[in-house]
Order: sequence, then structure tokens, then C-alpha cells
Amino acid sequence: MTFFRGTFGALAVFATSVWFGLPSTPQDAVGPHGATPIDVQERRLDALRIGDGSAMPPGVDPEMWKIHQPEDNAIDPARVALGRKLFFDARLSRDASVSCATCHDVVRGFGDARPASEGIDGQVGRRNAPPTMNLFAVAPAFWDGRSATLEVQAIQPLVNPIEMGMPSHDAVVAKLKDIPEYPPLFRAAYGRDPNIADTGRALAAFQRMLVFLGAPFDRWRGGAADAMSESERRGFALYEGKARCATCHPLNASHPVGTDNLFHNTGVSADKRDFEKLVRKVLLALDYGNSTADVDHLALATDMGELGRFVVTKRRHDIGAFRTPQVRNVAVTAPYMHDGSMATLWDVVDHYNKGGIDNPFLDGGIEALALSEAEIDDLVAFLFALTDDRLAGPKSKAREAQYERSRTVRPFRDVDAASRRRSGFASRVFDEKDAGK
Amino acid sequence: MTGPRAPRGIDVGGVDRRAFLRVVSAGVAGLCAGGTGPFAAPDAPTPGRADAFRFAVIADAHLSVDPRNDRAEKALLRAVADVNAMDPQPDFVVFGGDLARDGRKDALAFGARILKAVKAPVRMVVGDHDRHLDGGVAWRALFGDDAYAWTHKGVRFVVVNGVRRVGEGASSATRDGAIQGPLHADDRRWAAFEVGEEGRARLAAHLSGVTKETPVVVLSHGPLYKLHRGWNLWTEDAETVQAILAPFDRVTVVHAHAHQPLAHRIGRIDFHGMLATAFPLPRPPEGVPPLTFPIDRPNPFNPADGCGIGWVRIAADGTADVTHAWWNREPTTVTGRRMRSGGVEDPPPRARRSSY
Ligand code: HEC
Ligand code: HEC
Repeated sequence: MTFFRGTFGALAVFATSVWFGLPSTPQDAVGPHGATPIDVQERRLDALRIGDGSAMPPGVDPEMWKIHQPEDNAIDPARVALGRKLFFDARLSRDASVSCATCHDVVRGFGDARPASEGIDGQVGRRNAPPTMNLFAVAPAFWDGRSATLEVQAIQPLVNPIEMGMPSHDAVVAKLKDIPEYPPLFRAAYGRDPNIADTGRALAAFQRMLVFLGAPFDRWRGGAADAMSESERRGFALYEGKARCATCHPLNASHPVGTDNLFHNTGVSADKRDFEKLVRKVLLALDYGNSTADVDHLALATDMGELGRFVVTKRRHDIGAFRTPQVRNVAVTAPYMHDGSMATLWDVVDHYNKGGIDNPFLDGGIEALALSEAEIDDLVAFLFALTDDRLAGPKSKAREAQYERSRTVRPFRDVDAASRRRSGFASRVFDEKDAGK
Repeated sequence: MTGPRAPRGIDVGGVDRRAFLRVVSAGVAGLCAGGTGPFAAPDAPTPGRADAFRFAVIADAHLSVDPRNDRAEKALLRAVADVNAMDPQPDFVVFGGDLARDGRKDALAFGARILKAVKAPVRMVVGDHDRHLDGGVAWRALFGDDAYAWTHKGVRFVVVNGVRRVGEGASSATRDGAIQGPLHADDRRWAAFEVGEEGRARLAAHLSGVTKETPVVVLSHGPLYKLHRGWNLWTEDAETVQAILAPFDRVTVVHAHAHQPLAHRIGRIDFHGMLATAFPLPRPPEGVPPLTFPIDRPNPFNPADGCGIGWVRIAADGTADVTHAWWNREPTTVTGRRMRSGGVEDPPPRARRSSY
């Protein structure tokens, strides 16, 4: 507990100071819970020119798009328009201060640029808000995959007591029926009055249109040899080769956003958690309630959420495992990992380079990588080259800031572990006096 | 199940469920977990039958104490964490052999060190790699005799050295000196495994005076039957060994070495190959016994896939159900009923990906 407060306090201060936002954002324009005011976000979204749902978003392979379209929620402009309105509408929260866009802020890379999100009454959860970009190819939803689809996912935050805090889905629907604009919009989109399932569908339809796949990497792979610098190209070779990133973050025609959509324990913050103790605790808790809302509560508001996928499956090999996130546009979505514990992409690569943090459930694919400093810089350069051109402004600001920080602060670097001069597990076997042997 | 838990659906002292969750979240109720481990429910002893129990099996760790390759060491540590988390605890843990990759003293000592962390008592079985350099001298110095027996809750347990080499010479219990040769299992220059004359005599002695109704569990590294000579999944004197076991009503042989689940029944003897911690091996090209269930090809990108630990539950009547607790998959249980019915009862789950 103390750890959480201490670290998150410190990180939160840090996160606000590293977030350099968009040039178009006035420094002082801050809405409820520190989010960018909705009108600023909406203007920014217009400038990003996402599709209105009358056609497929550009850059997506038509086959992939088709595969990921649910049968009962085909994309169409009325649905996307309704979803967009709902996404920005704080009236859907108990005190009308929180909307989806509070934590999935258009100006902040569709996240909130802080380690863990702040919801209703200023309550801070335990998880980092993932960007709502490119989710058409990401499933199941949430870090622990507890929602199978975007449609199901979208209605959870509405009633989560630390996010939007509505007492029930019925209350949400009653509110929607009371707001004169909504019933006609719902009827246009789904041919019936407001209801909770269509609310989820509309939000999902809107989010599926948030596609950002126009990066230098895509132009380079499309044949424009000079679209990526030499350093970025070396970085891609490392990504696919020595650094082994592609085993879990594949980037190819069938995996366009860089996730295998599977669950892995990569040892993030593993040194700060007593997994076995948490397992006993969560099994007991789940015995008293394992409804969707209960699991949502455990994941977001308690330290048991650190067990990741285990909370959903109760399978021992899922302890500390989280769904691989996409790597698209990571330049603009700091801080990183499920708990927002890493501030820069150098930190992320340092973490992998030393073979993660040792724990019994560490994924077999996580190994010390022996990357040199120059290789780390190349790999990070490549990760920046995965940023959609429309986000080029925030990307270059983020790169400047992260680069600067990485020259002085590297909390996750461990050269001895990376080069296997020292192995992380040895301390679990030997006590001090044997260490030299 | 044991432990001070309120039954499902009943409020805890008038506290509502949501409030209770908050209490749990605050860490208070974390103290009173009992019988709830992920390894618990299906294998917990049946109430009122105190003589039913289970023991865990860890095997084929292949430690090398080379800091450039610590996969095997990490895997053994994971196995230890797994058995220590079993709830209720197993009565004991069998280490099924091949603790060290090439039998170096430092690797064996390192393994002994790791196994010290096991909370339950540990029973050691010697493997071929353990004996590679010195015929088992260093291993015996650490762990004692490689053939022994004991009785636990009415079940007779006998450990054999099933990895002597044909023509190795004098008794493995007394002989010192190298039997070095090619480490590659597929190398025909290797002599086949055998229990050997003295080993068979000791096995018989350990079973003398044991009634034929007594359930017998034999622990060996090699399989004690013949399936593929190429990889030494083969016991040269298997028939003679089996003849010693034949008089007993219920015999279960638990072996390692194959790095994969295998299931076989000869007469009234059940044979179970167990998972390795270090790495999986593919299906042998011949001789896979028919009771063996199909398994999905391990994922080459995840070295932990295809590995794991296991445990054996012995029911009050001596029936042995063997569970393979994979690290990356659902556990699979091969029941004694399935073995006895020739594979008719309790069918295993189907493989989803194609096999080797
Ligand atoms: C209080 C902040 C907050 C609010 C409000 C919020 N979210 Fe989130 N969102 C998060 C956090 C934190 C996560 C990650 C939680 C987890 O994985 O356990 C998340 C996860 C998601 C995901 C999953 C993304 C992925 O990669 O799996 C989607 C989709 C999403 N939110 C959409 C929405 C929608 C739609 C709304 C409005 C109905 C909304 N969010 C409201 C903070 C918020
Ligand atoms: C074994 C699978 C695996 C491998 C290999 C792997 N990752 Fe990851 N990656 C994950 C998982 C799972 C997470 C989320 C972990 C968490 O939050 O606890 C993640 C998180 C990330 C994130 C954070 C994204 C975000 O939005 O917070 C980045 C960036 C990343 N990985 C890049 C890389 C790079 C670069 C490599 C190669 C050096 C790599 N990954 C190798 C599975 C993997």
C-alpha cells in the first residue's frame, strides 16, 4: 500500500511533467480531472480526419477489417456518430465530470499520460489507460482480457465505482432516454430506443474508426526506401531478430498493430509483488463474487489486479500475465506497461534487455538480450518510427523529452544482467556468503 | 475443503459482499486462505479417507550452472514454487532424475540447493545425466543410495536405478569411475539402460514380504519398458523387471527421461512418463504406447511450453490418477480408471494443433 502511494505519487508528478502535449494545446486549458477540455479534444479529433464510418479507414487491409467486424455491429455513419457523442459525453457519469475522453484523451494519444487513471471523485485506479487507437485488431479487451469484445468492454467503465460511477446500467439508460438528443440518434443507428447493449455497440463502432496505421514504417515497407532512417532500419532488424520483440509483438499482414493478443508475464514490477500471497487473497475474494463487476473492481481498484490474467482464469500459469499491448504509436502513449511504471521507451527496452524481472511465472520468451547502448538507441528509434504521420508533432516532442531523460535517468538499466554476467535468479538460491562462489 | 471460509452465498457476519471485498482488498482476510490454491480442489483428499494422498513429481531439470544459459535453473525454481503452492501440500515430492545436465558436481550441488526450498520431504531418483561423469559417485555423496524403499499410508514405494548401462560392470552402488561417452541420446554407441542383476535383486528384496494387495509405486528415471532404443526410451531387462512386479494387483511405475507424458499398461502395471522442467522432447518416431494421449506441438517461441510438473493422487484403493500440470496449458489427468479400461473411460482432451 505504502509502495503504491509513494511510487504513484512520484510517478504522477513526473508524468505530468514529461507530457508535452500537442502544440495546439494551451498550457492552461485543463478540464475536470486534469483532462484536456472536450471542445479542444473534439477540434483535435476533427483535425485528425478519422473516417465517418461510410468507408473503411485508410491503411487497413480489407480482409483484416472484415474479419474483425462483428456481425451485429457493422460500421455505419449513424453508429459512429452516436458513439462519438457518447465518448465525449460526461453526462454519462454520476456527477457529470467524467467521460471516456477524460482518460482516453484525444490530445494525449487517446490515453491520459499518467501511470494510473483518475476517475470520479478524484479516485485513482491501479492501471494505466491504454490508447483507444487501432483497437479493431486488438482482443480481448483490457490488460487482462476480461472483456471479450469492444462492445462488452465499453459498458464496464460506466458503472465502475472509480471510473464513471453510475449506479447501474439501467440508470445509464434512463439518463440517455432523458436527454432529448439521444433517442433519435439511437433509433437512427440501431432502429430502437436507447439500451445498454447498443450503447456499447455505438462506442465500439466509433473506437473501431480510430485507426492510425500511416507510419514511416508502413511507407518503408511499402517500398519507400528512405522513409526510415538507417538507425530505424537497424532497429527493425533488432526488433525482428536479436531483441526478439516480434515473437510477442508481431508486425505483419495478419498482425497489423503489433500484438499476438496473447497473455505473457514479462516481469513488470514483479520485484514489488508477492504473487503467492495475492493468489490466496484473490481466490478467496472471487469465492465471494466473480461477476463481471466484481472482477472489474478487483482488477482496477485492488493490488490483486497485479495478478493480471489470473484473476480472470484462475490458471496458475496466468499469474502476472497481461495481454500484449500494441506497439503502434507508443511514442505518444507514455508512460508504459499495465501499471504505467516506465516513463520512456528506453526504460522499456532496458527492462527487456536485462531479461525482465525474475519471477517464477516469467514467460519463457523473456531472456537477457545483451543489447549494446547503440542497439538500444536503434531499437527505440524504430519504435518511434511506428507513429502515424498525423501524430508527428507530439512524436517529435516526446522523442526530445524521452531522449533527454534517457541520457541521465535509466532506472531499469542493468548491464550486468543484460550481458549475463549476473543472473537474476541466483539471489533466490544462494545466500550472501555463497555469492562469490 | 478445509480453511475458515464461509460457504458460497452466505454473508460474512452481516457484512455485505461488496464490503467484504473491500475488507479483502485491505489485506485483512488474506490471512485466512485455506484449500483454495489453484492446484487444490480436484485433488484434495476425499474427506473421511485419510489414506488417500498425493505426491508431486519434478523431473529432468538438466542444470548446467552456466550463467549464459540460466533457463534450466529458472525452470527448476518455478517447479519448486509450484509444489510449494500446492494446497493441500503433497505428502512428498519425487525428483525424477537428471538434476544435472552432465553430472558435474557443482551442478548437482546447485540443484540440491534449489531443492532445499521444497517444503515437503523430497525423494530423489538418479538419472542418466546425473551419472554421466562418475557413475553416480557425486550424486550418491549428496543424496545417498540410489535404490531404496519405504511404505507410506499403506502404499509401498520402491526407487530403482533404471539408468545403468548394459555392460557397465560392477554394482552401481559400489562402482566408482567415469562412464563418460557421447551425451547425445540418439547415439548408438551408448549402451542401453538396464536395472541390472543387482538392481533387480534389490527391487525384489524391497518387495519381499509385501502382500499382493498392497499398492506398489515404482519410481525410476528410465521407463522400465521398451519403446524406442534410439533415444534410450528403453530398458534392456524390462521383461525380467516386470516379472518381479507381476504378482502385485496394482503397480504404478512413474518415470521421467521422456520429457513428455506417456501412458502405457502391461498386464497390471501402469507406466507414466512425466513432464520435464528443462525442455520438452518430441514424440519418439516409434513405440509410443497406445494409451498416451495426443498433445499439441509445443510453441517454439515459448521455451516453457511443453514443460511443467506433475502429481500422482493415490486413492484409498490404490488407484493412481496422474496429473500433468503444464506451465502453459490446462492440466491433463490420466486416471487409473482410464488405464484399467484400456483407454475407454475418462478420455483425455483432444489436441487442437497438429502433433509432431
Ligand atoms: C477513469 C478513467 C477511465 C475512463 C473514464 C474510461 N476508461 Fe477506458 N480504460 C481505462 C483504464 C485504466 C483502462 C485499462 C484497464 C484494464 O485493462 O484493466 C481502460 C481500458 C479501456 C479499453 C481497453 C483497451 C485495450 O487495449 O484493451 C477500452 C476499449 C476503453 N478503455 C474504452 C473506454 C470507453 C469506451 C470509455 C467510456 C465508456 C472508457 N474507456 C472510460 C481508464 C478509463
Ligand atoms: C514474451 C512476450 C513479449 C516479448 C518478447 C516482448 N514483449 Fe513487449 N510486452 C509484452 C507484454 C505482455 C506487455 C505488457 C506487460 C505489462 O504491462 O505487464 C508488453 C509491453 C510492451 C510495451 C508497452 C506498451 C504500452 O502501451 O504500455 C512496449 C513499448 C513493448 N512491450 C515493446 C517491446 C519491445 C521493444 C520488445 C523487444 C525488446 C518486446 N516488447 C518484447 C509482451 C512481450
